[in-house]
Amino acid sequence: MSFLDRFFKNNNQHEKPKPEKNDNIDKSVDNNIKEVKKALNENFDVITRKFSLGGKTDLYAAIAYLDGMVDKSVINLNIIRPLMLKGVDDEKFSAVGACRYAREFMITANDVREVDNFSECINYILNGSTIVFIDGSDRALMCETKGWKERSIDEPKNEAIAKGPHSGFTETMLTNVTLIRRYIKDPNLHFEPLTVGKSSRTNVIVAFIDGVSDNRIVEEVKKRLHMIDIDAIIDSSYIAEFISDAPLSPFATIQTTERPDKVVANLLEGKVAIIVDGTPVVLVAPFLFMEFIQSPDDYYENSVISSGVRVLRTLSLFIAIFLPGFYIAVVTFNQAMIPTTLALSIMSGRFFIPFSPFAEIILLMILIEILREAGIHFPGTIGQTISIVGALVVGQSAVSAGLVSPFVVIVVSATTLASYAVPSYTASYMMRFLPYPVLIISGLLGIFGFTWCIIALLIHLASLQSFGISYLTPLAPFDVRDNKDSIFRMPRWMMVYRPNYIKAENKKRLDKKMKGEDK
Amino acid sequence: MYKSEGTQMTYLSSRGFMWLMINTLLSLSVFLNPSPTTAISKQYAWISILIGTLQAMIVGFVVIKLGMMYPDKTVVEYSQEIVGKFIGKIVGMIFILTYFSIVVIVLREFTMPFQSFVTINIPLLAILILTMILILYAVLKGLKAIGSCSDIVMIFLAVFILLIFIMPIKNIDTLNIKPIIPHSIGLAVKGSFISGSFLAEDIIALMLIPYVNDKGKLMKYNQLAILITGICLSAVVAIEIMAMGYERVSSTIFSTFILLREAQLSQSMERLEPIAVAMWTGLVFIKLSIYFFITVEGLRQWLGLKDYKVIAYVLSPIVIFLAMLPENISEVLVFPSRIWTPLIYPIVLFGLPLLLLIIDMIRKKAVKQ
Repeated sequence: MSFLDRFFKNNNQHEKPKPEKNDNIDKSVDNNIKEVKKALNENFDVITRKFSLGGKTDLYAAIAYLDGMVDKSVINLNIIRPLMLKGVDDEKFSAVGACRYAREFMITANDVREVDNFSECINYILNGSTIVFIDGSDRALMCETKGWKERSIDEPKNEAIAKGPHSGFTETMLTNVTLIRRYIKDPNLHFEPLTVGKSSRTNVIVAFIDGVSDNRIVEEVKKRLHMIDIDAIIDSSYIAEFISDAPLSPFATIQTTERPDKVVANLLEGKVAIIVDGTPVVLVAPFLFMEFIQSPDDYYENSVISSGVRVLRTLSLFIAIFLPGFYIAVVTFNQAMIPTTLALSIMSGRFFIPFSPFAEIILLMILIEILREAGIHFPGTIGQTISIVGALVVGQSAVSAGLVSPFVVIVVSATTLASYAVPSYTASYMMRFLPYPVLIISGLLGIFGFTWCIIALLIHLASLQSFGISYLTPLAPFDVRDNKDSIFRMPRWMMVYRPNYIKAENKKRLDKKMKGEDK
Repeated sequence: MYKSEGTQMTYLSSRGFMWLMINTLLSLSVFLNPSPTTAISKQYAWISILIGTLQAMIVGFVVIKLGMMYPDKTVVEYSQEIVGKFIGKIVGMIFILTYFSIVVIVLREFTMPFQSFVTINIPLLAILILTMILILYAVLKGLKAIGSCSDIVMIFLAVFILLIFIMPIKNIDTLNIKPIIPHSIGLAVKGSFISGSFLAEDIIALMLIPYVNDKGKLMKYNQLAILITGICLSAVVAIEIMAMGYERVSSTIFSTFILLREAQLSQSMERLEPIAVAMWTGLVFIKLSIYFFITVEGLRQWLGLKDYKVIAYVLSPIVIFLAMLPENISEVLVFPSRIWTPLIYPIVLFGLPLLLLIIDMIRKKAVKQ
């Protein structure tokens, strides 16, 4: 069907499980250590240590782990120490077997499992566990010793809010899972692990609440994740690009967020979260158009005020995309539309400008774009200074030099400001790109071109789907109940039901019908 | 890239069908109806539109009754079951041609306000081609996308109607519409056929019924759609007559645009007709794409093909060519006044569905006995 599909199919055909030559664990510790080093290509960070078990001269054990991925104090205190120093009770030892004896009577680490094939051992070592081999046993022990330097839990930089919880996700998957788990203490909250990427072997977790989420969406997410075939996943955006419905559309069909509270709220609405190890950005599916203008802030503030803010954001969204196009259509083609005094002031501002209105506005927009892009890459300390200087140059000097008219500066800066008023970071790239096609078409065809753009965008949005759900839901198809939380946010007690478009068994949020109407 | 399954047949809800119907019926008639109706019925035009609404509701009743006899098939398919293979094919073709003629003529009518009110220096061909690209895009995306668009465009329609009601408030003179009770009811009836024929475009339901998912409420919503449209239309005409006087309404083709152009509620709210035209684009666009969809889909069933995309590609240049044919506005308006109202309305919109319904009932009774 599509390129990507073929891509998947071809690779699936090639991907036959290679039979491991010798997948058994040897009974000799020395051989095992050699095998481990060979399997991990004698890398310097593979640490192995052989020692006597319980002070016996004929019984040896060995551990193997990757330096830097483990918590060494656990290894020292809870694995090596008891294994070396604790006396072995010979009777019990021969009765239960070496491996089980070590697991049940000696090692004091909290998560210890028996492993019986060698490739699994290697996998565990790569994930930061420690493997214990014991002479005379064809099984090994896996001790959970993961631990590495990690960032502390910070406020997410791109999604700062005024009120509400300030913690953000980190690069460690387990921390992220914990952050979610702390909000929802529900046994139905599922975290289903997967592994993606041939060489990165990235751990991916599909999180959802059973009964609240739509099984069809959960299955669809898992199906798409299983289809991914790539060597390495560095960021969750790799996965987003593979599994989203329309990766080429400027409109994102999958949500990315760094806020645990946002993910939790989405899980409680019945959506599915995808947590990827090594990145603080969690994906949430499905993502709908109306969520561009929604922010966690809305739910922590008075509903009347946050409804007003949402209306403002909707307006900003329109201004960010359409204002330059509308300006150019009106100024070049339909001057009669503007009230006479306004038209006069626009024209008097343009009197000494050497460019056409179109060239003027596109020049300024590209300048602002450069300023914006440069602001991201400036070293932190001078970034602010430079952006102020840039703003002064672009704004004040361009006008006084007679390059652009003051009116255009207002239009372009309003557009840029409006694009920052839309809270979704996912939306910002869309809003940087879309004004240009609208501007060009309106510059060629006037109001007709402007309307043409709106309708073309409308059809595009109407044809998009996110995991089987129409992108414009709940506006189209119109649903009164779901519109309680779209452009307006109704008070919490009025939102009795979860979104209608998620087909799940458990649909009620509240048991009371209305405030003060409880029976 | 990923086609999700399971949502294939739930194209429209019956309420979505109602919005689509209102859009389709109201978008064009609100501009093209007032002038010819007023020319015949004078200041009673608003009454004659209400009479026309009643006629259209009869058509709507017959259409839904007929459609619900075969709820999973379109008229192109079941006409062959009712009147036999050969005549059925002819009947199907008549319907397809009717739909097709609307696509062509509406596409041309669509460009007229742009040429005469907003941007004069764009060539006709450019507007036609660009509009056709939009329609093609929508039709290729399917009925579900068109339905979603129509839900959004309903907001435009509501704003547009509100604009018409509020803007001319200062210009209104109730003396223009008096006497309210007509001296001769005949005058009102004579003009009713124009709006009746516009509102009887309800026959698109014959092609859409299989795609509606809750068919039980279809009759209710269909009749409601015609009623709402009729009342809106009647109110718009009444306001136009009050604001401009019936002589001026009858002599200007796009009287609604003129109404908005002259309306001046305050200093800052004047000359709003470019905005009105922009909204009108959205409304008429829905009408065009739904008609093009049913033409293409009907032709696909008529020819027995699997995919309608090829037909859509082939048909769109033909539509553009045919839309280029009329020389000017008055030639375009020949179609509604000389062909649509006197010929197509009684024969295709009214007679054919009724005939099919009667034959079907007789046939079913005969089979029972």
